[in-house]
Amino acid sequence: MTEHSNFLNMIIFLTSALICVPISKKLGMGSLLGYLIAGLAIGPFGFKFIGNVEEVMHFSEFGVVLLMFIIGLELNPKKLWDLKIPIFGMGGLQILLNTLLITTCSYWLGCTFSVSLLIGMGFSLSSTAMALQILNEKKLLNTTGGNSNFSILLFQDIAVIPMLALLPLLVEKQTDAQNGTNYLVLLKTLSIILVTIVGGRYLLRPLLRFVASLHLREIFTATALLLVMGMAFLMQSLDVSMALGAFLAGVLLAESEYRHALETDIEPFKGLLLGLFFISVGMSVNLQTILSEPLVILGLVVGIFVLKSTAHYLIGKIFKLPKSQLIFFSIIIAQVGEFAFVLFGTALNLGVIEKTLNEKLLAVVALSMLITPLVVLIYDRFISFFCDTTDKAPDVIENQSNDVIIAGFGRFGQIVGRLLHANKINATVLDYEPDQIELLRRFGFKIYYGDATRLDLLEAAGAHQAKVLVVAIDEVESNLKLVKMAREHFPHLKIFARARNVQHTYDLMDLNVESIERETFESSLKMGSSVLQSLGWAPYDSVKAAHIFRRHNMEVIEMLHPRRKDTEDMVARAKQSREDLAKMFEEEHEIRLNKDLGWD
Amino acid sequence: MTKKVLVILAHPHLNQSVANRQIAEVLKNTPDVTIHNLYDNYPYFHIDIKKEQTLLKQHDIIIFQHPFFWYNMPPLLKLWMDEVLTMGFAYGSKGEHLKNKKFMLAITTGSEQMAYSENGYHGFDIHNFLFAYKQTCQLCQMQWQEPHILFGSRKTTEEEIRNHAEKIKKHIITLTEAR
Repeated sequence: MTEHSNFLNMIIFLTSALICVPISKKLGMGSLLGYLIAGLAIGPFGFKFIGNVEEVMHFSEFGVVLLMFIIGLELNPKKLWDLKIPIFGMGGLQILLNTLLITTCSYWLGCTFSVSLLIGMGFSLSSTAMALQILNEKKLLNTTGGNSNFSILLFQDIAVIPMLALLPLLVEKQTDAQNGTNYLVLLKTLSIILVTIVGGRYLLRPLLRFVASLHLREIFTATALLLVMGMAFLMQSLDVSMALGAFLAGVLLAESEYRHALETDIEPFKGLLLGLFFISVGMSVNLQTILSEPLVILGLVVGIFVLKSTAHYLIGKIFKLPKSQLIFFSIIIAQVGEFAFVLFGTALNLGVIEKTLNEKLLAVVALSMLITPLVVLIYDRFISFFCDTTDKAPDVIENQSNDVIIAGFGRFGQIVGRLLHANKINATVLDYEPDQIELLRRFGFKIYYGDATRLDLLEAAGAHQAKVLVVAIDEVESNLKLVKMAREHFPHLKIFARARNVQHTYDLMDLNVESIERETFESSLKMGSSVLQSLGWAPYDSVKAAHIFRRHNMEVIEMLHPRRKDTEDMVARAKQSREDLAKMFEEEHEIRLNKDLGWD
Repeated sequence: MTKKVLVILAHPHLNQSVANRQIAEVLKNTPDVTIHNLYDNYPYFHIDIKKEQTLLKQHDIIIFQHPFFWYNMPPLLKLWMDEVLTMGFAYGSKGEHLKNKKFMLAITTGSEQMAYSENGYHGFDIHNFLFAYKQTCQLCQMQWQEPHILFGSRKTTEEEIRNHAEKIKKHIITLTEAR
């Protein structure tokens, strides 16, 4: 294909999405179905706008690759550990039960054992993209059921690795020598993955730190993309799926301070790529295969859905999920997912299955994904009303963020953060200077690299859940930009802002900021007191003088604030305020000299 | 070995004071006496508890010197008491660090002595107002000394103040040289 037709393809993808997605959304069917229908429409079995199936598969696979990177980014070892019971308990049981059931059924339907096992494993997996997208859209991720779904999907992400590694062992009619090489391949693959993990840990962060220190956003994004593609390519050259490589790259960076930055940089791509992925799923639905044996395929899809839903329902019962969420929990992950494409694709290359069977399986997978939004629709319209909503067991809302976000962790924000930290209050810290981040991380601070004035980064840092935003950015423009944005998008946040000077203070007052501190005011007052002491003042008198000065100064600022636009008036007022201050000091002096004060 | 004396001086505006400044001046020149000016040391009211307790341990005679205002001590001295005279240090089964130390009060009042009587301006004898000090002394197992009170401090002459200060000095010397 030429460059030109690639360009044309993109236009077709975008146009089809632009037509189908809004219509689907307006009809109340969600965006997912829109993408799938768009794919179906433009694919080789629709209007044939895009005929080259290989090209389609290529696109499709890269969609999954980037998706897997993002999933990997969200899967750091700590998160994994917190969810260990749902992940390994529910996830393990889900894979085990489904694999067992489906393998048995396949064997019973006449497949060989190795093919049955392949189908069992492949069909036990669900679509992370589909399920998470729907859960996210319905804001159910933080419910007990949603959390369990997420845990199971996480376990599947991991389980697919040994599954892929197991594939070479399923090759039939092999001699012992071949068997040996298969073990060798497995060993080679595992050791390279291990080397990548270890090497990545030590190489990736310094690389990103260097790139970040250049302060060139697009180069940082380019590095992230290069990283994903590089890992994908490396894994592909090892005959491991590209998606797995990208996933590994994501996991490697999940713990790094650049996670938020990477997430936000890739976020704009994420939606589009997910869309692209779903379009490609739509395109890969082989209507010919389906139409040749419509009842068999449809029967298989329905069978899989029923089988998996039942198994999930059982698991949900065992783990005591709230009754009202049980059905939704069961059906949302009942489809077969994108991992099955990868698994079956690899199996086809290895010769575990034949091409015709592979096509049938892929048709089942794609169709099962296609009907998921439909099933959800049916659930919403008809089933949800019958669900037992009497149990009032509150959903476990995971506290996913700290109460305090500190934007800017230089000389100012650092002291605020350290004071909080010393008193066991954790804050999420956003800063732009990579060198400092590294140093502070060594002292156990949770710090993320990024520009806090970006809405998406603020969201990623948990601004929705936080209570307090400390704006400690020194640069006036960014400081005000962040305050304005927070006021607009997160009105619940209490804002504490650092002000550079009086002018900046006025600007912050215009925005109704709760607490404003001029960055040098307090320390200057303190030094002023010290100077008075050095001149023979009693220390307590010098401190009181500073207190009086502070109060007076704040009163003057309050007074001048509404009139600041009128410059001439300002000058007169400023002069007046100086006189006021002098008068106030004189009055205070007289008070102290007044014998009737009572102290002697 | 002579005993050591710690004068805890609490006056928010010592520079404006006449009587207390002179008394402090005299005490400063008394042998074995350390003047500890609370308002100078803690103008931000952030008391170093460890340091204060160490200081107390190092002395045998503790004197509170302050103006008597609203029948009480200046706020920083009250804060000092709250924070420094803790359980386990000053009182309680293990708090015996002040045991057997001598405690003396050196205060000045604005009113004449006559005002401190049943028929006077303040309605009670001055000793009624010193009850809390006495009981504090008792609880910390310290030995109560006869307090030195300068009444009507703003009407007294310099000579009267000097005589008052000398009286305190003499008292201190008898205590330090005892036994």
